[in-house]
Amino acid sequence: MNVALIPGAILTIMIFSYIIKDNLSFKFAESLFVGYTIAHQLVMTVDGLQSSVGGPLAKGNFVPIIGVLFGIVILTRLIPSLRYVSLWGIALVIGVSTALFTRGLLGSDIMGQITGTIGAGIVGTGQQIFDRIVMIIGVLTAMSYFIFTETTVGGRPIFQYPRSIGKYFLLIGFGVGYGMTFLSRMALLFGRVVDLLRAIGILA
Amino acid sequence: MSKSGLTPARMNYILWAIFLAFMIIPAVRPIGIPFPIGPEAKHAYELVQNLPEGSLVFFSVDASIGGWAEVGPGGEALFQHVMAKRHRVVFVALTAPDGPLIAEQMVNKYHVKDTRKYGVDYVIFPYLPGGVTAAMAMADDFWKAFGKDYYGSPLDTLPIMKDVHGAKDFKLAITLDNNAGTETLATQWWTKYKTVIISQTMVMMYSWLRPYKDGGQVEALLSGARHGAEYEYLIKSPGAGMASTDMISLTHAGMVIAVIISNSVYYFVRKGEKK
Repeated sequence: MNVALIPGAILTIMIFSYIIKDNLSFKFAESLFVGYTIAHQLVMTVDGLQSSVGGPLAKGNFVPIIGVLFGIVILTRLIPSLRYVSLWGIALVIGVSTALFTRGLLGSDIMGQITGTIGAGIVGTGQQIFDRIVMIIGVLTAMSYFIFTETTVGGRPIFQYPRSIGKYFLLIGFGVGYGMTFLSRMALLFGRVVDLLRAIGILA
Repeated sequence: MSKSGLTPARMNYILWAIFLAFMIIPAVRPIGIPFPIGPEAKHAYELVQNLPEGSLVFFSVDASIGGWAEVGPGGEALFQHVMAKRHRVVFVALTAPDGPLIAEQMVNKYHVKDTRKYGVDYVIFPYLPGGVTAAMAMADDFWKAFGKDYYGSPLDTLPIMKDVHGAKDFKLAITLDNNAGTETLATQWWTKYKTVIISQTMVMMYSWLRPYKDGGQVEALLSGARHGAEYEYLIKSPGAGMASTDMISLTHAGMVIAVIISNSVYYFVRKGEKK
């Protein structure tokens, strides 16, 4: 029996007791998990702050103080009369994040994806050619499902068929996503089951 | 309730009991169901294998303990491989506060301190809050982003840091990801520095991260304990991944059978109702 694993095993059983019904032991384990996670994140964040601000300050670099001030003003949300000041800090965070994301997204999520879809052309082995054709049809028809919401042009149902095909591609995509999510959760359950078996000494 | 007394809730309990048996039996008595080694694990293996000895590897532990059953087998196999190839490794955490803790656990579990020297061959940095902003800060200047390492040592006391300044110094970036590490590296590091990225992620994240692989931003994309098992096989170090392949194969097969049975029953019940 592995003593170190016993607290984890007990907490796992307490969490899984929710399968039967909501109960006090589940609530205790849930609260403990939330409390631990927040405490750990807080310690890590404060530690990171000490490292990225305290270090430069000790060397006479006062630039990080600007960032700290913008961080502190976000706390003015707690004072209703000064709430508007918090918007400066939030604006800086959102502005910088959006700018960085946009730069990254243009290269990676837009140009990279277009190149990945059609850039290489329809070449390669038989399976690669088939995969590429399916991908191009899937991308175009799925996009047409969202873009061409008006299916008729001059009374003729021009976009009806691409939209229908696109709908099936989307359904397959959602189905695969759901299936993989379920399998992923099952795999996480394996981890807990193995730890439970180790805790009671069935597995080494 | 049906004539047999089987309510949907009772059926759920029975199904869970069957799946639990599918997990416990192969864990206690391994069956040894064979599994082929796919191109994805081989490609990731070759990327690490073909790097010149002593190359700098950026190793971001972006997975929390909760997702370790899925990310861990492949993550630990990648860790063992980069250490065995004597690459120099810089551990960081882009999106998971638990990252440094997990990195430290891997170092202890595989007795890395016996063969590699901290500060010379590898270094662990603390979690840097900020997500994308933190990733770019590291990419532009490690020395500015971190004042100290995880243990509080100043960077100028760590010999490995002489060669680490930013993203351009790394020959390879690895992310063990059950959060947003892959997207962060792909959109920021790849876009600006064309960093070669290996991602070990969870099965449920595979379908939405796959476009990054097809687009070339992520060089190798491993998902779940299954790819972890393949990687363990390639480095000849059986671990949690290979131990769980029987469980994965049996429960997945059981699930497919359950889906077919339930859909068939649903179809025939509806057909009967229509009549």
